[in-house]
Amino acid sequence: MQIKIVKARILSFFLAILYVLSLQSCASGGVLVQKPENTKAQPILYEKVISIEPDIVIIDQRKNVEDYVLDTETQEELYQKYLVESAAKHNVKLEVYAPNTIKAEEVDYFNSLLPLKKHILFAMSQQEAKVEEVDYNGNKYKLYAEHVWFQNHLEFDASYGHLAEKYGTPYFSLHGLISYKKRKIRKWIWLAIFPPIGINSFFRKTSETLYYHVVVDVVKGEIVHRELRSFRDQLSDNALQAILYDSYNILTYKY
Amino acid sequence: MIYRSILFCCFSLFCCSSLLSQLDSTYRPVQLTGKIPTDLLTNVNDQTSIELANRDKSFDEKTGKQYYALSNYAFKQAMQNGQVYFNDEFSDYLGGIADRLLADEPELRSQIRIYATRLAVPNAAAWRNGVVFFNMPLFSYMQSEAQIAYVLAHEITHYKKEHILQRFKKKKDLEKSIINNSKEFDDLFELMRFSRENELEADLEAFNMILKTDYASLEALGALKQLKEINTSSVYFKGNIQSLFQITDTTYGFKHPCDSTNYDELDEVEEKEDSLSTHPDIEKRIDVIAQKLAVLPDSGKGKLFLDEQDRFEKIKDMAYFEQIQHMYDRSSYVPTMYSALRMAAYYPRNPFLQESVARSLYWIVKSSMYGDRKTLVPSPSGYTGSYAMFLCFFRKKGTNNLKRLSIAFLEDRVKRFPESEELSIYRAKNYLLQLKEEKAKIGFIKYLEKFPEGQHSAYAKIKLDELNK
Repeated sequence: MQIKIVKARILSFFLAILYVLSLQSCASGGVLVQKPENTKAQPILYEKVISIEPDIVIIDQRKNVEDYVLDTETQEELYQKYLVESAAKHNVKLEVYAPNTIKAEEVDYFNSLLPLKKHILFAMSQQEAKVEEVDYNGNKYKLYAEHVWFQNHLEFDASYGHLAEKYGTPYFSLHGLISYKKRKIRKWIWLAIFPPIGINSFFRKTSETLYYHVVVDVVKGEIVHRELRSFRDQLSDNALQAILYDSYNILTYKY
Repeated sequence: MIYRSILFCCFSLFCCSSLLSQLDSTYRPVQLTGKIPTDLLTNVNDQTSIELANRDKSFDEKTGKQYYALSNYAFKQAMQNGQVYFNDEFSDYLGGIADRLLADEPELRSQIRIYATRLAVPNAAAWRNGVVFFNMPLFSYMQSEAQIAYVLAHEITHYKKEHILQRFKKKKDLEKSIINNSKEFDDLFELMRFSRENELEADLEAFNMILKTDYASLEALGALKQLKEINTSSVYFKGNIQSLFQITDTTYGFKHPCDSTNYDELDEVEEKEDSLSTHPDIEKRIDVIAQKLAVLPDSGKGKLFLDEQDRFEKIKDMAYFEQIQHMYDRSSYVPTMYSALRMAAYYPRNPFLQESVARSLYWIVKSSMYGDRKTLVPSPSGYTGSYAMFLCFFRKKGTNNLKRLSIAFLEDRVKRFPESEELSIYRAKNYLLQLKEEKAKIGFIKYLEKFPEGQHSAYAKIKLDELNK
């Protein structure tokens, strides 16, 4: 009987360790969403949105720089495809304007769209998201799920109102995604020297993905939707599609 | 460096009286037209695959992939970020100079593509694929077409002599050598020395290229001396804020919060050790060319301009205007205001300059009311003369004073430029920003009466509806 109790204790001890290790391997993250207060009662109906040069950067420390630079370009096309599909699933017609999609005659990309993107990004940098809950300390940070309604308009340069007529919609969006995968170094050495840390290093997530989605109304010269998302896991195709689907779900959600 | 180039631009304005009537007073920044060149639509994977298949014989596949992929990626980023002009008058002018430089090398000329850029640094650069960048601020430092020709010749030489490939190979060779702490520094010094040798070679070869043309060979020295000005210029000239803004409303007082005696001229920059620099010290470069000129029997011959001089002056004027737009696009609002106000002294009827000031003032006031103004207004330390005073004014002046300044400026300019949509809408926006709703309503109504189908009419209607609720 005593032997059975000891065996049960040893088993439960190892099960507890496995449970803790499995928690290490769970994906974690957060979402911060900001919208204007007045869209709570009157949500915006996004029928068509123009996406300007969706940015994607994938850094994989396990590979050589030249390899992940070439991979980034391949991923760009896939990323754009998933964006359009995710938007379509929410009845939003997304048109992507980027160097690999524009035609040689579409000079307005350089005349208007890229300057617009620059002004939006600058306005964003001057009007920070409410991130008191984010605590960046070395490699660790926390981003909680939060949905904020702001009253002061997030404004940018309003000289782009004419684009609404030209492109058939006042809504223009920016998407950015950066995924970083660290190389797990010395994990085998730790396994030999101190197994608990060694085992932990096999399970611990070393990937991180940050994603932002900003939508502006060029007629009003205002940012009407802002989403910042973190995702602590490897960016697979499925994960990317899930993030983008959820992003458009949040955009089109009616409260 | 960008602020020194702004100061130098404005200093040049005072010096060159021939600038006054070159441009139409309705000049507005360039809008690109025509077809986008294939250089701007580069696909890194495709380009790298092609180049890898035809790679340099000394490269193995791994090294080749590293060289071609990284350089193609950097090139793509530079070309596709909206910094490059194409099908424009600047690139056309520079292309004409390159035609004259390479009249006897048509094959090389067919490989060279020159683009003017919006980059802030007064510089030029050559890429390994034959593209040459000529940054807009550099036009301000060039005093003749021959000087531009020398700069282009220098960059073309980098491409012709494959300096980028040589540098990459040198770096790879150094990486293969035994690494210990002290050796890494030796390697760095060796790489920098190699880079400086390439620069001197480019200087000499460019000089030889100039000799083959009808350009004045003396201007090679002139170009280098102008490049020296980029690093050492400290321009001081008198001016005050009130004379800059030229507001007729006397109720706004321009009491300056800063003491002008705090902003003395900077000391002359001393000659510095260049062992960790990619470029030789400018004085050494000047000496090398001066020695070459000294042995020439006819160094004083040649022409400063082979194209029309008027065209050169016009291009320089246009470059000033373009830089104002670039500064605004980079959200450098204070330099935008300063440059636009100085230019307005020479182009008093140009509405674009006034609109640039109006837009910039709006953002400065907004950041003062709702954010941290210091993120938009640089510190005056390190600057001299009236520009430093200008910075100090916007750094230290109270928010209420800035609000009154922006309103006084806009009321004045709307009267002077009644046909400007931007000034009219920004007047209304300023009142709205400052929570003066009745005046904002009047402003939007006046805008819609004057410009019913205007660029901002949809915006004005929306704001009027919001105010009427």
